[in-house]
Amino acid sequence: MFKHLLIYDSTTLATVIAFITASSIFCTISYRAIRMKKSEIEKFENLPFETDRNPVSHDTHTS
Amino acid sequence: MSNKKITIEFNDQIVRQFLIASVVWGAVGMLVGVLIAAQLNYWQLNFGTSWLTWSHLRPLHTNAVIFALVGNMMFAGIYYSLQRLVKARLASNFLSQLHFWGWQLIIVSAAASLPFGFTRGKEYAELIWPINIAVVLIWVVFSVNFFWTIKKRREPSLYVAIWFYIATIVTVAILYIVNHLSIPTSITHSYPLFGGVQDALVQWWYGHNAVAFFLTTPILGIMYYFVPKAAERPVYSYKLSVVHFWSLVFLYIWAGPHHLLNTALPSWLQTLGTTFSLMLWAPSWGGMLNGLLTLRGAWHKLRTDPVLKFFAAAVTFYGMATFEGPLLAIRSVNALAHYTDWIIGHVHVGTLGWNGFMAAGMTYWLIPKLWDKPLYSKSLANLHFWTGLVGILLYVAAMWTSGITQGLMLNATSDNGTVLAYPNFLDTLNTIRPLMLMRVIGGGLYLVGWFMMGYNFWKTVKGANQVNGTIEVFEEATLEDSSTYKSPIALIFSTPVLFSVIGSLFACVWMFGKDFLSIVGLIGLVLIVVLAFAHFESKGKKWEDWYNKLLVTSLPFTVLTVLAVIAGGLIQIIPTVVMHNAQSAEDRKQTPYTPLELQGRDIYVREGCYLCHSQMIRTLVPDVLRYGDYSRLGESIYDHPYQWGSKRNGPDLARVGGKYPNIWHLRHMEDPRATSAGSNMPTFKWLLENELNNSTLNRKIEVQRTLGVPYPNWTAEEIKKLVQTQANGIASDLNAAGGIIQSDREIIALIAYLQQLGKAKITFTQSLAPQINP
Repeated sequence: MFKHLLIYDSTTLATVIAFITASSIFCTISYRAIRMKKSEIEKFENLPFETDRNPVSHDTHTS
Repeated sequence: MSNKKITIEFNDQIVRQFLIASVVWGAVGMLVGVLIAAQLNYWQLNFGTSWLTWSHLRPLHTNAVIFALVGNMMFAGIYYSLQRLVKARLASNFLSQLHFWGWQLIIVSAAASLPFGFTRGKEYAELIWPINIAVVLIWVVFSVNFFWTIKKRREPSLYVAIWFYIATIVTVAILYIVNHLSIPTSITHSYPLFGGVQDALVQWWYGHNAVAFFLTTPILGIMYYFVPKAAERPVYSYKLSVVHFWSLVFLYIWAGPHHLLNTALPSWLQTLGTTFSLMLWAPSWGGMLNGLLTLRGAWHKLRTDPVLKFFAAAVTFYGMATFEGPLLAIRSVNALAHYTDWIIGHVHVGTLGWNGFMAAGMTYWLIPKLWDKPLYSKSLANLHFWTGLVGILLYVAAMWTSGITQGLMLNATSDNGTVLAYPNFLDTLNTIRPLMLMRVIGGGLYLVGWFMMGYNFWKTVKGANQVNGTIEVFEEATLEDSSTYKSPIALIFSTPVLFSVIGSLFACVWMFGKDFLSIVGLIGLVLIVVLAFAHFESKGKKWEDWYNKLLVTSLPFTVLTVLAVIAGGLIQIIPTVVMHNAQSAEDRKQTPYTPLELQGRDIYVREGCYLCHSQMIRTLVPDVLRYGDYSRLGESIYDHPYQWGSKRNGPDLARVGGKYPNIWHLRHMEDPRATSAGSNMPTFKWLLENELNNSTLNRKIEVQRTLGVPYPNWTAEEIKKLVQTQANGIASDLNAAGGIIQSDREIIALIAYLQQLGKAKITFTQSLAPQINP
């Protein structure tokens, strides 16, 4: 197989294998993401809001 | 676990330092950018000095905006968000400070070396080897500080922004080390380990993924933290962010070869690059939409809030750049766009629009929080936004138009494709001159906007108190208290990983084994896939648990990210490394340079000629009509570093050898307009004055021999004699033609090098000879 990669036209097979591998991973991850529980998602997406107690919050700017 | 709560104070001092550095270095990098854009219009702005010459400053510009502006901005954003997301102070104040001052020292070293011609001759990888070592060491300091903080964390779950940061840290380390492997010849000079096509592939594996993992993934992490914070609402779809991360990390690394389309790179690698580039459309746009839709319900704030304006525009530019990238990776589009200003326009959509605006948005959001004071002027921030936006649009519109014009003119033919419509390269240059001027105005406006931010920053923090954020946590809360925690070892030795490892082993046996072994590998692979599927069907809960626990345990997560990243790299690089030898070169094979030519080549690299002149005639009719027979893989096989180039501000030089007499080259370097009326090339007069330094030549040849270049075992005396003989011959020829020059000047070596370009011997390899000539 390896010598085919070096010499012959069938090296394009590498592209097909790479495409199938990447597609499989994409599908697997998408499946996992879709199956995530609502509670899990809520926990993760709220992580940036759980912390931080700045002495003063200056969300309102002045000009 | 104790119920007692304690207050942790975050290390925001380091965030302030990196933020200031990013604004200051950003101004410097962009100022150099505007200057070099102006130099393309007015060559006199090189001021006749070597260190202000376009080709010396261009690497300074690119390195400054990538590593100084985006680098410092990235570190500020990562350190700010990491502490808050993991509910822990940065692990070490000392490492944080070492990271900051080490990084600034690297930037200063780059600024002090690149303009003076100390370069490795590879784009975005120009820094000389001692600085490369410093970069690696400081990156290790950053990594230790980062992962140590994660180890100390009080929040078990790793938010998606941290995933992007982890991918950045491990991937940049791999890319940087591999592409910078070199053998030194002196304290300031080295030859890369790879040469020719191998070097080209490794370079663009690095170059493309420097964009991916230095300019994109960390900024996406910053987007996933700061955009929800600024919009005061969670990310639009966390599910989408998960898909975005894994697919981006897995796909990006394969796409590098699209920088080498229609070249001597093996066609299967070109197809691989195109395929994966097109696949990148999906995750990139998924991420872009996720970022934009996070602003749902907050659109009205865009009218008044400059932070959200910058973020919304930045994410939009991310979408534009990631749409354009795959488009340019289509071979026929690339045939038009490659080597032209279109690529420069594409790159600046990303850097000015995506990176620059994300940096501005983050800076405006952070300043009031880090200095406990409202922003000095919101109106000025809004003015910065509009000035910058108009600047980008002018710049990008100019470059797109200029690039397409260049591509169309250079590729145009008449008489059924047998004659070039515009045979003089300068016809193209003169046509795009107004657009090049428009680019300076666009870049200048963007720079003015950046200065506005600097002024606003200064006025806000002047006399203000520096404050650090705090958080209350349970005193003894540790990761092990978490119900979701599982030890890294248990996660690595688990069913999904075992199936993957065994499957990969069978795939390797199939790939690399001969005859019987190859069949065994294939059968084993199919079997393991079936078994894995069956196991997943019957014990799916175990797989789900494993995945959920993976998300709270950084070590296995990091290992898997590394595997995803290196898979694409290895599949491209290993066959190319094996293939890259004299036996595999078909048709034409390079002859090793004479010692004088080698010296000339090093001058060519030092002067940055590769930044304007390619040495790669593509397999396209207009290229062949203009420059000669297309370049073969074997013609640059001994080039360390390769010099194929990526932009043609001037014509290709792959077959310039013998095209002009020696005297033409002398006059051309002295004053390009003397030989090419209307040229915008700077003068290189110092080459006629500088004495050629041969003190390290013996060592250079020794290193070349180590790298596999078949040089004879010359003695030092023989090398000296070879140099003198060839130099005297060229000097005599020049003198006879009226060019009075001493034989020990640098220009003699450069002419020797230029005159042998394209003079490779036509040969047939052993394996191919019988097929071609039975």
